[in-house]
Parts: sequence; C-alpha cells; structure tokens
Amino acid sequence: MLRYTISRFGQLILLLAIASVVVFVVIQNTPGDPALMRLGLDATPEQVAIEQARLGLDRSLFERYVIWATDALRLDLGVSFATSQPVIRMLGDALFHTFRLAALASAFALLLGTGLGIVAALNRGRRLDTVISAVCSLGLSLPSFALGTILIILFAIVLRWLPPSGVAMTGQSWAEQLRHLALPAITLATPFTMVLTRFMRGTLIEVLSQDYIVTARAKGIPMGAVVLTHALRNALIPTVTIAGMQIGSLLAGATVTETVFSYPGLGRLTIEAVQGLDYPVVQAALLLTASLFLINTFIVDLTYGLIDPRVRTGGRK
Amino acid sequence: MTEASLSRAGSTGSFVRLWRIVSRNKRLLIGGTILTIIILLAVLASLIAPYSPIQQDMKARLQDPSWLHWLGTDHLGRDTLSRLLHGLRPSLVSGVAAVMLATLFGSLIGVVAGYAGGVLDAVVGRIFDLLVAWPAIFIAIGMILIIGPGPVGVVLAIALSELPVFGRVARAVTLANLGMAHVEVARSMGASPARIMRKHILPFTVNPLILQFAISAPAAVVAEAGLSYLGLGSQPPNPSLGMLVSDAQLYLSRSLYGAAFPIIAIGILVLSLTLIADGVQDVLDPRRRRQLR
Repeated sequence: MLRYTISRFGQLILLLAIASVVVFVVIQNTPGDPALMRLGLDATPEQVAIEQARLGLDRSLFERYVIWATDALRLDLGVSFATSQPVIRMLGDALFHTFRLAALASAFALLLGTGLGIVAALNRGRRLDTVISAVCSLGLSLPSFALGTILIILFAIVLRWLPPSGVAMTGQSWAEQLRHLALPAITLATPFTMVLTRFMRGTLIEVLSQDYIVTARAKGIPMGAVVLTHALRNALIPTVTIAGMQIGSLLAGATVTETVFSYPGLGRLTIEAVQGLDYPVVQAALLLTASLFLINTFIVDLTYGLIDPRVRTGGRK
Repeated sequence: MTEASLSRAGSTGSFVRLWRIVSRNKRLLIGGTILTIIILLAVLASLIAPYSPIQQDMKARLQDPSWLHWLGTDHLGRDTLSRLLHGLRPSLVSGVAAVMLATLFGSLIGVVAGYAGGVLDAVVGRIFDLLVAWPAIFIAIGMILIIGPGPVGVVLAIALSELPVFGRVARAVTLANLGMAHVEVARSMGASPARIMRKHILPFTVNPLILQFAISAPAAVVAEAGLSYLGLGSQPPNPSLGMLVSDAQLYLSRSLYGAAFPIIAIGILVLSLTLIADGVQDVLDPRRRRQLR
C-alpha cells in the first residue's frame, strides 16, 4: 500500500505541475497586452516599456512561469484587475461558499441516491422501479440551468416559499441560511443523485443474486435484514467510489448552478472573471479548480486501492 | 435486426433498409420524428419566423403570449418565437459538429494508438484519462480565453471532452481485431500498417462509433446549451437556447414565458436525442434491452 501511495503521490505532483503549466500558457496566450490594459490606450511606448518591466513581462516565458509558480506556492496570487482585492482572499471566500453548497448537495445526493437505488432494486421491474428510472433519465438529461430556472419559477416565484438567489447575510439564523441554500443545493445534487440511484440499483441487484444472499434467505432471515446486513454492505463499496468520482463533476456543475442562483462561489467567480477579462483571478481560479480536481482523484485512487487490493498491486502477485 | 443490417443501411445509403429498422423501433421512430421536425424548424427558421430575431420593439416589452406574439416577447420587445426558432440552429450545429469532430479524431487516434501499442498507447491513454476527468466547462474556459467567446470555442471544447470516449472505443476494437486471423493474414501477405488499419480495422469500428455518437449527441447539446447560458457561446444579439434562458431570468418576476418556452424546447430536443440514442442501443446491442440500467 505504501508503494502504491507513493507512486500515486508522485503522479499527483507531476499532474499538478502540468496543470499549472497549462493554465499559465493559456493565460499567457490570451489576446491583449496586460501593460497596455493597465495604462490605457494612450500610453506612450516608454511608459508601456516601464510598466512591462515592472510587471516582469520583459523576462523570458520560463522565468515568468517560475516566478508565478513560486508565488502561487507561497499563496501570493496577485491582485484582481476588477476589484483590486488580493486574489487569495476572493478565492478563499468563494471556496468557502462553494464547499458549503457542495457539502449540502453531496449529503442530499448520497441519502436520496442510495435510498432511491435501494427502493428501485427491491421493486425491480415493478411500476415504482419504472417511475424511478424515468425520473432518473429526466434528471440526467435536463441541463442544470434549466432545472435551476424551473425550481426558481416553482418555489420562488409561484409558491414564494424560498428565495430565488444569493446567500443569507452573516448573522442570520441557520434556518434562513438553509432556505437560501436549498434550491441551489437541490439543483447541484440532482445529476449526482440520479447517477447514484442508477448505480446503487445495478449493484444491489447484482449482489442480491449472489449465492450468499440466497443462502441467507433460505435460512429464513427476513428480506429486510438480509438487505441491511448482507447486501448493502457489499453494494456500498463500489458506490462510495462512484460518489468520490462524482465530487469532481460537482465542482464543474457548481459553475452553472452558482450562476443561475447568483451564488457567490468559486464557479461564479471564475465565470465573471472570464467575462470581465480579470486574468489574475481567472488564472488563480483555474489553478485552484485543477488542484482540487487532481487531489480528489488522488484520494479516490487511494480509497480504491484500500478497498480493492488488486488495484494497488497492479496485478503483481 | 443485426449489427450488419444497420451498417449496410448506413454505408449503401439505402433509405429503405434504414426506414425498416427505424419503423420497427418505437424509440427511434418517435425520437427521429421529433428531431426531424426540430431540424426542419431550425433550417427554415428565417422563412417561418414571424419576426426578425434581433428586431427590438421597446413598446412591446415582456409581453405575454398573444396572437401577435405567439410565445410573447423578451425584455427588449423581441419576438420569443422568432428567437427560439433561430436559437435552435447553434444548439444543433454546435452539438453535431462537436461530436463529429470527436468521432473523427477520436477514432483515428484510438486506432493508431491501439495498433502501435507501447509508449504511444500509454501516453495517449493517460491524456485521455485526463481529458475525461476534466469537465468540458473548464476546457471551454481555456478555449474562450485564447480565441475569444463564440461558437468555435464551444465546439472545440465539447469535441475535446468527448474525444476520449471515441478514442477508447476505437482502441478497444483495434486491440480486439489485432489478435484475429484476418489481420494476421493481411500482415503476412505484406500489407502496410496503414492499409491494415484502413481496410481491416476501421470498418469494425463503425458500429461501436455510431452507437457512441448517438450516446454523445444529447450530452453535447446539453453542454452547448450550458455554455451559451453562461455567455460563452454565440454572442448577442444572435440567439441560442441557453442565452434565451439567461436573458429571461433577470425578468422572471415579470414574465415567466421568456424562460419557460426555451426550457421546454431544450427538453424536447434532448428528449428526442435520448430516445434515438436508446433506440440505436436497442438495435446495435440487443443484450442492452434486458440488461439492468
């Protein structure tokens, strides 16, 4: 396991380095001269040259990358063009909000997804199963901005139960904070829930056909107890792995969901920075997202190795 | 209804055979009919749309559906029906173009990597892993930063994120064929690798790739709608389905129709594509029907 961990960790470091190079190169190749953008169009060539030297733009690409990367490692990500705030502070705030939303969404998805999956598996082929599978197809095929807008129309405008956007003020009650989080969390959780439902159903049906389940049933143990003690435990292992992988796409889903609900998270910050050509923020946000993504993959890989010994030995005996 | 029957229908362009397959499968029939209507509406948009999609009329802002404006008007007094009809085009074109690019390059890369094996195969496999894990939206952001917002960036981004699936399918087919007699014989008769790939491997990738194309198409259309919703796709004033929703969202408290109709349109479009995908799956992989999903 140690060897596997070390090799995966090495890969993680390598991939992080590659990701940082890619992000850097993308930003370097954006049209427009940062010095000119800061000074305005009527700056003299001398002024531009001075500003370029001040920003370090006269150095080689490689030097600039090293400076940027070491600064980033020291968590110095520069200052936003748009708000003049330190980028690291903006990212920190946004990340906090995104984590809160993603945590609620995952909890919701895990509970509902496994629950629906179990119900569907136990009612395989009956009407309830068909209904659940139809809902899954619907939830998976509807784009999340469409789902989010439908929820806003239904719960915020027609029924007026929940606020359509934003977050609660700090200091407001827990209930109020939850009310603001409810619609975005459900929107973000829906595709995740549907994937989990389908997967849980498939795995559980497979487990339930195993000999040991048949034996347990034959011994006279009631179905409910068999499912709880024998089947669920074995069905949960692969489900946990799938859940881990889905957390990455939760981050991606957050960009759209946060935009729909004007929720001040990482995704919305990224999109607004892209639209406003706020390159320091875009650069840092992309790097942060890439890192979160890769670290998540690393953790999932490790969990997988823990659960399934074949993975960590790579087929060696 | 075998695999061979569908590929023959495709390759000889025999509409009679294709029709026989389609008419026997309810999903293909319904999905295909809806999609055909949508494509016709999109192609004929400029002929059948009652108004210009970008003509503003400040006196008729945010109107409810009426005989004058069947689906109402938006916040600039533009006719929603006309914008919807014109907005279908970018969704269809971008989605299809992206998946076609992904199919073309994915299958080429997959076949070559699978045939070559070794380091090339390993490197390509690793890059595919990364691209798959990486959500389309972040690839799109990178594209848009470099070439600016617009349909081209969106198509490339969706193509890149769908490419690995096609690559893997083509690679798997290649590996399966490499060990088989017909490739062995061709090689012993002195056929060049290029010829073996073209004549003895590529034909076998056709059916799996058609299947993957059908599965990827709805995903690509959804991705395009999402990116244009975020303002990264077609640029104003040209409409797209995603943009119609994001425009209407600011005025939801005054009019629900501007958002509701484009969402219904997206829903119907994706539904028809999903039905076709399911139908193609039924036809190409009969096991699939009984398999647990």
